[in-house]
Amino acid sequence: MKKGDVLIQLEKINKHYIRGEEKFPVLHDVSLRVKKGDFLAIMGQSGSGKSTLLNIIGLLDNANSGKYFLDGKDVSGLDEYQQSLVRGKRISFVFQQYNLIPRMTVLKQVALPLFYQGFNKEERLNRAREALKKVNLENFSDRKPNELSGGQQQRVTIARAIITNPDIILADEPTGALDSKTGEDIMKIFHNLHNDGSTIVMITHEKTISQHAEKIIHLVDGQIVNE
Amino acid sequence: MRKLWEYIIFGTEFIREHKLRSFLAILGIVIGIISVTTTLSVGYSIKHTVEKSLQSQINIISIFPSVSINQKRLENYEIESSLTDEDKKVVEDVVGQRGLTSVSSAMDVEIEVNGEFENSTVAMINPEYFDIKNNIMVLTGGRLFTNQEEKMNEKVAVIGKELAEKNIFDGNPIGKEIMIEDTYFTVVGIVNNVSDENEDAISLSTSDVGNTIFVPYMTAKLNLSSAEDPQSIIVRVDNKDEKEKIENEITFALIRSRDIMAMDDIDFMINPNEFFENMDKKVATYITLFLGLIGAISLIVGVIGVMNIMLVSVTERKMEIGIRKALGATRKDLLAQFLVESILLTLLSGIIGIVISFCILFVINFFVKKSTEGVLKITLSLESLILALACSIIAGIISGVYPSMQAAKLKTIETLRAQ
Repeated sequence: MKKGDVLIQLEKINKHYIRGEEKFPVLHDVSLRVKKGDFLAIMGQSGSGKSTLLNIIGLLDNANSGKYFLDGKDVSGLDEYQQSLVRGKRISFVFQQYNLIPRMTVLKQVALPLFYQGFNKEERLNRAREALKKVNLENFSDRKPNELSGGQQQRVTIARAIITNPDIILADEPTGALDSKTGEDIMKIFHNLHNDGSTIVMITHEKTISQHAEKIIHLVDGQIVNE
Repeated sequence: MRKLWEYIIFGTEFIREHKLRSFLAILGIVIGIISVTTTLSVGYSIKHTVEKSLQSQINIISIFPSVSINQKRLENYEIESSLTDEDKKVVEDVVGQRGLTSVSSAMDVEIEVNGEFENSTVAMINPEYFDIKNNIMVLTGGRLFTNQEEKMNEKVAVIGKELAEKNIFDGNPIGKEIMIEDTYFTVVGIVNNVSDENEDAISLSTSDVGNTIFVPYMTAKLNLSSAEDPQSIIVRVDNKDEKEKIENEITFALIRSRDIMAMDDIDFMINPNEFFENMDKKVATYITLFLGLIGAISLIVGVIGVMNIMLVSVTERKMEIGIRKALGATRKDLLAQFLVESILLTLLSGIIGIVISFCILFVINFFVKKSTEGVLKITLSLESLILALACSIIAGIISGVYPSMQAAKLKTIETLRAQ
C-alpha cells in the first residue's frame, strides 16, 4: 500500500441511539474517503456526531447501516473478536482525557499494545523506548501517569498510539484538555508523524487546531456539509 | 497463543500497583480462613478429646460403695457401705473369662527412702489393674508385679515416673527400697502416663500415675495398718457389646451376695460417671457447633468484604477495560487477566491464612495444653482448612472475575466514557 491509496471508505453510514421509546439520529448518510498519508480534521459542535463517527472508524462502535471498507476490505460486518484484532494491528487512538491506566509506569503503558499482539518482552520494551524518544519523553520511562503534566500524559498516549506502526491514528480532541501553548506542542508532534507518512484523523471544535490538518470536513447534525 | 507466564507477571504487577485494594481483599479472605480454621479446629479437638477419653472408658465397669436410699431417708449419711474382698470374688466370678477384675484403693502416705521423706500416694491393686489400665499407663522400666507375688505377700512396688525421677532415689530406683509405715517395699518397675510417652495419646487427668506407688493389694492389707477394704472394684470387659449385660449380672450377683431385700437398700453403685460422660460428649458437640457458627459468620463477613472491594473497584476497572480494549485486547485477554489476578490474590491470601492459622493454633495449643495438663491438645483440622480455603477462593475468584466480565461485556466506547 502506498501514499494516496484509499485507506478508509465510508458509504452511507447511519447511526442512531435509542433511549427508551425515542430514537435519536446521530449520523445521517455519511460517506467519506481517507487516503493513505492524509491528515484530516473533522470539525463540528458538540452533539454534531463527530465523536460517534470517529468511534465507528476506530471499530469501537458499530453503524446501524452503511458500509465501511478499511484498506479495501469490508469491516462493517465483523464480530467483536475480529474487530479487536483489526483494531490492535491497524488503528491507534489518542483521546482527549489521555486514558492512561493509573499506576502503570510510562514504559509499560506504551508497550501494552504490543503485548496484545504477542510480541516478546524485550522487543516490547525496546520499541516503547523508541516511541518515547519520538515524543521527547525518553527520560520519563519509570514515571506513573499521576506524576506527569497534562501535556506529558498526552505525549505518552501518542507514543502508545505510534508503537504499533498503525495504518491510522485517530485523535479525539487531542488538545481539548491542554492550554494553547502545550496544544501547539502536541500539534507539532502530529505534524512530524504526518511528515513521516502517518495517516491521521482528528476531531476538534477549535478552528486554530483544525488548521494544522491538510483537509477539514465539517459535520453538522450528523451530516457532512462540505469537504 | 501468549504465554500464561506473561499474565502471571501482569497479575503480580497489578497486585503491586493496587496495594491497598489488594491488601483489603486479602485481609477479608485471610480473616475468613483464619476464623473458620481456628474455631472449627478447636471445636473438633475438644470433641475428639472427649470421645477419645470416653473411648478409653467404654469397656470399663466401676463399682463403688454408696449410701442406700433408705439410709438417706433416715439421714444416715455417714453409714456408707464398703466393698469387701468377698464382693470382689463375686464380681470376678460373674465376669469369668469375659474380662479382668481388680480392686483399687488409694491413700496418701509419707514414705521414706534412704532416710529422706517424701509425700506420695499408695495405690493398692491386683496385678490385673495394669492390664485394665494399659491404654492409660505404660511400663517404662523394670517389670510389673505378678499374681504369684501378690499371693506370696511379696513386698514389691511399681512407681510412677515422676516419683522415680526424684532425688531421693539417687539415680535408678529399681531395686531400691521404699518404707511405707514400717514396711519396706522393693521397687521393681516404673510406669508412666501413656499421654506423656506418646504425643498422640489422650488420657484423663484423673488417671495421672506420676507420683503413685502401686503395691499388691493383699500385701498392703497384711502389712499396712491403714489399709482398708477396697474403695472400688473395676472391671474391663473384652467385648464392649457385653458391657451392659455384665453390668446387670454384677448388680444381681451383688444384690444376692450382700443380702439386699429391696431396691432402696442397694448400697453400691455401678458406673456413676456415665451420665456425666455422656453429657460431656453432648456439650463437646454443642461447643463445636457454636464455634463453627462463629467461624462461618466471620467467613461470610470476610467474603462480603472481598466482594465489596472487588465490586467498588469495578468503576475504576471499567475505564481500564475500555483502554485495554482500545489497545487491541480481546475479551479472552481480559478474562485471562482477571482470572489470573483473582487466583493470585486468593492464593496469596490462602497461604497467609494457613500460616497465620497454624501460628494461632500453636499458641492456643500451648496455653490449653498447659492449663489442662496435656489432656486437651488443639490440632489443625484438615477438613476445616479445606472448607475455608475452598469458600474463600471461590468467593475471591467469583467476586474478582464476575464484575470485571460484566464490565468487559460493555461496549468499549461506554467503558471509556465511564471516566
